[in-house]
Amino acid sequence: MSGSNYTLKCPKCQAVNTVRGKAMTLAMTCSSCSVYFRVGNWDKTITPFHSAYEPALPLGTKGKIDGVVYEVMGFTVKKEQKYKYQWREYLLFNPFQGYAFLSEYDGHWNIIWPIENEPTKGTTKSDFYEGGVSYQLFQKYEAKVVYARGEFFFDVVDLTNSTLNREYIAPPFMYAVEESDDSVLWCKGEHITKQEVASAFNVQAKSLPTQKGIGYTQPVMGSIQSSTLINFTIFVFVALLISQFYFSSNAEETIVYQGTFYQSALGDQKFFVTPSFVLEGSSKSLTIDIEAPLQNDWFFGEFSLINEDNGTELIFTKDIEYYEGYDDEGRWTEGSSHGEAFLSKIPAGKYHINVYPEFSTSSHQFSLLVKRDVATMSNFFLAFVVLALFPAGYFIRKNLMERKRWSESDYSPYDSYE
Amino acid sequence: MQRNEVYSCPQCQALNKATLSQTSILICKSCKSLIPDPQGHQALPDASPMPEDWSFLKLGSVCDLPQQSFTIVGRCRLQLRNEYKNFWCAEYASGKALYVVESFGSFAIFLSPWADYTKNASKLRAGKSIEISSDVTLTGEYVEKCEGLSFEGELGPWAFIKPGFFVVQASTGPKTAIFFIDPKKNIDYLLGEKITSDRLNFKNTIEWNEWK
Repeated sequence: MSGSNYTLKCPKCQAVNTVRGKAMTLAMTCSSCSVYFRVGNWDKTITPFHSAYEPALPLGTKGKIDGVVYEVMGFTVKKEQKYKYQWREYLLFNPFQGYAFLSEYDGHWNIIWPIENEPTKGTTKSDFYEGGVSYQLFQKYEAKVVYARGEFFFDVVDLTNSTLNREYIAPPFMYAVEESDDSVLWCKGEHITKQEVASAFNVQAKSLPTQKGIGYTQPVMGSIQSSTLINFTIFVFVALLISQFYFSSNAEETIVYQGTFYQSALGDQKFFVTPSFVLEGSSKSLTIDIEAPLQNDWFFGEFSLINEDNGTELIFTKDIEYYEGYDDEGRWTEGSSHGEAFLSKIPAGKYHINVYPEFSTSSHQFSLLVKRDVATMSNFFLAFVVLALFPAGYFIRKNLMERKRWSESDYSPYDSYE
Repeated sequence: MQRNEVYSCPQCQALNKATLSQTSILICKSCKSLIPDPQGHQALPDASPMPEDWSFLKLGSVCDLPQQSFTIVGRCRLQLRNEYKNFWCAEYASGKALYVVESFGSFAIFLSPWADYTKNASKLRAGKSIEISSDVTLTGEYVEKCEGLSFEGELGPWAFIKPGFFVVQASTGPKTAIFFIDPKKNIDYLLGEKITSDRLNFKNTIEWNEWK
C-alpha cells in the first residue's frame, strides 16, 4: 500500500494501524492481533475470528477493471446461513468511482458495483426487466462474516448479519439487493473470468482458486447470444427459401424421353434399351420417373444411363413396392407404385438407358419418364439440416448447461418441468 | 453574515471574506476555527476537525455546467454509521448557494433551498414510498444516524449543527431527496437530482495520481 498518515489504535492490543482509507474506513482488522473493530463511537465491540483465510488477491494490490484502477482494501469470507456454503469478497476502492466488490465462489468471479437506482420492477416478485433483459431470481439468503481482513467503509460484519440478500441473474450479468430495516442497496454485477482477474491484478492465474462446476453468472456458450443465433438462423433459412424459389422457377423440366415396357416384349433379352435422346446445354439434373401398376406386389430395376458420345455409364437401381389391405382399423396401404431417381450434373450429350428389370409373378410392365433440368428440394433440405445442426446443438447444450446452473438454485425455472 | 464582508478570526486574527449572500457557518481558512456571527444569533456547532479522506473535491474546485458554473466554497462532512456524506457548498450567480452531495463517487446536486417536511415522518424509512408532493414520490434508500459533523470554509443555510440526527435519502430515477430528522425538532430536506461526476465537469480538483 502507499503511505498514509491516518492511523488508528487497536482497542485490544493498542497497536497503531495505518489506515489506507483515511476517514472513509469505518471498520478494520488490526494488523497486529487481527481482531475486527469499528472506528465509530456507536459500537465498541471487538470481533475475533476463529479461522484464518488467505486472500488470493493480497490487500493493497492495485488492478485495472474496465479502465478503472482499484485497490484491494478488504477481504471477507462469508457463509450462507441455510446451506452453509462459503464465498469470498474483496472490497475494491477508487477515489473517483467509489467502491466495488469482487466476489469469488468455487473459482468463479463477479465484479459488482453499487448502483444509484433500483432496476425496473418486473411483473412478478421473482424477476424483473432491465434494458430489455429478463433477470430471474437465483437465490435469496442471509449470511454471516466468518473472516475479515483489511479495511471497510461500512461495518461489514453487522451489515452482513442484518441484511436479507437477493440475487437475480441474466448471465453474464446479475443484480443483487441487500435489504435491512435501515437500507436498501442495489448492486449490478458481471461475470469476470479468472484470467481477467489475474491479468487485472497482475497475479498468476494458477494462484487463484480452481474453478468447479458452472458459475451462476458464467456465460455457458461463450459470447454468442441466443437472439443473435436465432436471427442468423432465420436469415439463412429465408435466404435458402429465396434461392430455392429462384432455382425452382427457372428449372425447364423438359421431357426428353417417355415410354412403356412390357415383360412380354423382353423375350430372351435380359434388358430393355430406350431410344437415344439428346441432352442439351450445360450440366444439369435429370430425373427418371418409374411407374409400375402394382397391386400387393413389387418391381425392381437396374438402370444404366449411357453416354453414347464417350461411353461413360451411370448405374442406379430402383425398388418399387406397393401393398394394401384391411385390418381392424380399416384400409391400409404401404409403399407406392411410383419411384424417382434424381441424377445431378449430367453433361450434355446423346444418351440412352438400359433397363435390367426384375418382374414378380403379377407385375409385367413399367413406364419411364425422363426429364431434363428438374428442380429438387433435396439440396434445400440438406442445406437446411446442415445449417440447423449448429443452432440445434447450441440450444441443446445451452439447455443442459442452464439446468446444471439452476440446479444450485431454490428458484429454478426448470423444476416445474421435471 | 453578508457577502463581501470581511470577518476576523477570533483565534488567529486572520481575515476571512464571506462570498455567499447568506452565510450561516464560516470557518477560518487559516486556523480552522469557527468564526462566530457578530450579530450573535448563531448556536455553536458541535463539530470535529475535518478529517482526511479521499474526496477529489476541495475548496476552490469549480464545476462547469452548460448553463452555469459554480465554485466550491465550503463543506459539511457528515459521518454516518455506515458511510459518509460530503455536503459541498458552492457559490454561483453572485452569492447564491447550492449543495453538491458526494459519497464514494456518487453525486447529487441540490439547487432548491431547505424545505420543511410536514408529512408523515413514519414513512421516512428504507424501502418505503415517500411522498414529497402530489407529483413527486420517492423510495427510501437508507436511514443512517449522523455520528459526527465537520465543517470547513463557508456554508449557506445550514440548520443541523450537532450530531445525533438521522439522515434519510430517498430517490426515484434521478430525483433524490435528503432528509435530516431531529427527533426533538423539525424535519428538513433538500430536493435535487443525482448526477454523474462526468456531467459536473469539475476542475481544479485533487488529482490522486496513484489511482490513474
